[in-house]
Amino acid sequence: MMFLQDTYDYFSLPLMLLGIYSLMAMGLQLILGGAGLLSLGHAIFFCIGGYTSAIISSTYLPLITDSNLLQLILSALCAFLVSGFFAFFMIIPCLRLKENYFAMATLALGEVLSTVIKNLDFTGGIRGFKDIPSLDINPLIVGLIVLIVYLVLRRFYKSSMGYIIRSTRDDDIALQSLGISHFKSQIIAFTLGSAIAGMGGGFYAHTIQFMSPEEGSFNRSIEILLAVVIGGMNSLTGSLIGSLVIVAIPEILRFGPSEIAQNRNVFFASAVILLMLFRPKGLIKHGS
Amino acid sequence: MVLNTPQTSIFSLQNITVQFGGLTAIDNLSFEIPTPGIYGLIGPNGAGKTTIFNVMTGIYTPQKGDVVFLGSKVTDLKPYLMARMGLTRTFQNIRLFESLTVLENVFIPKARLLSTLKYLFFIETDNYKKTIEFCREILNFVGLSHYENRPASSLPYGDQRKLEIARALALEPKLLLLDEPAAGMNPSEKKELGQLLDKIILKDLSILVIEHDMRFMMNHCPRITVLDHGKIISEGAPSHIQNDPAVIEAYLGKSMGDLP
Repeated sequence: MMFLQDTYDYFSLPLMLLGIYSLMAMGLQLILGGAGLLSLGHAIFFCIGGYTSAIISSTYLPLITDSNLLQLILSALCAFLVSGFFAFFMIIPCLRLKENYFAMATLALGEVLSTVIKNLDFTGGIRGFKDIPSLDINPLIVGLIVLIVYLVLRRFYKSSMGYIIRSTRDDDIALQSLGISHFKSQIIAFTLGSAIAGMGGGFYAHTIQFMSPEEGSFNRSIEILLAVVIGGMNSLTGSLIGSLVIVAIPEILRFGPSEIAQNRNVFFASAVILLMLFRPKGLIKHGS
Repeated sequence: MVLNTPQTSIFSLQNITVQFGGLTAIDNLSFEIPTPGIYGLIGPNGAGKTTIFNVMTGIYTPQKGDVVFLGSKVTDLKPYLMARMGLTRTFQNIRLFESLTVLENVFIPKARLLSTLKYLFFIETDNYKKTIEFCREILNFVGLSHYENRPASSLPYGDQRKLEIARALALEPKLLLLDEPAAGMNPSEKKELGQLLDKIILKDLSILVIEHDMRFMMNHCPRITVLDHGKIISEGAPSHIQNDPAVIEAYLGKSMGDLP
């Protein structure tokens, strides 16, 4: 029994991280694979969601209810809404730019917001936000949320807006000739995708119990981008598999001989390069 | 949008001038589509045909003049609003939603009218079924039913063109602009396209075609407008156009005898 308990304790953190990365990756999949917008500042919305959860769960939420589960759900909901709110107002000016220029704008956006967080008082500034309550977060809850988001997004892709978002990626000029403004669908995809990342950030804050401005760094945005691209940009299932790859491979390499374990970033990078060489369109080619 | 012309004319351009820097692409041009039917627009390369299309669909705003559609002034309207009024187009280089299936491509113009939230929460799915049925009918009409679930990019060239027309028809437009629909087609594909146009025109709409294939134009357009250097140089039935000296000069140049 002790062994089982230890195993569970060991695996619960990577499992929760897997769930959180899956949420972020699904959000980015909607933005990149859905609407065809390359967002390089995805992690900043994750960070905003994390701070929202951190602040609200250490101040207001305990006043509303004693139930940890309810607090967790409310906290995730707030993270979802607040990061969606930010994304909505950030995307509108960015959409004046196209393609690579748009990507650069989102990159700058991430850096600017992260600097703002560093210089605010109520976020804890550069030292970060400490002692966030864990609210008994466990892999089961995170997994359940991932499943719900996955199913809702699958259905969303089959709805009218889902189809419009996918056609925006293919050809926005043709879309306009059919009476549909591509701005609306791009805004919806970006806002929803960023809000899902924000929800992931909320869970992350409760899992790690510490948020710092570095969580929204460019590095993490790229990591998530990697997950989406490895899994296959056009597939929602692909981004789940992509997250599994980027969370599991470094974790598995930890168990290898010490030469590998100590240099696991090198091996991870090589594995990614090999994957991209042999499956340039991602592990799952077609899908929703 | 102000009512300023009687409802009789479907579409008109009134004294349009378009300039790109110092170059005048369209020069004080007036053009009208009075009644439903197929209209042709021809002219040598650089005559301004595509510019006219872009003015008509709202991509360019002319420096001078008015665009009137269904009795409303639409000069400053954005392309997607023009399309909602019932004016749509196909493109010279085919623009399909390549990752969507054939049926989904035709579904897009109607998607705007369907509720996403009601679908997400299983409240209203009947409208979706009805719309899909409507799209199937259109595919049947253009003869692409058997490709329904194939990705649009996998279709042969001629069928891709047909699909683009089907997608435009799904919008139920009043005026359909076809930009070089027969370009790159083999003779049998051109014949099929001609038959399709003859079938479409039985629905209550107007078609304006730009095309370089003269045989195709002469066979299918009862009325043709010829454009050169941003001006209309001739207008009328195909037989009239073919014998107009101004048209011959624009395409072939002056005969040696006429040179000074």
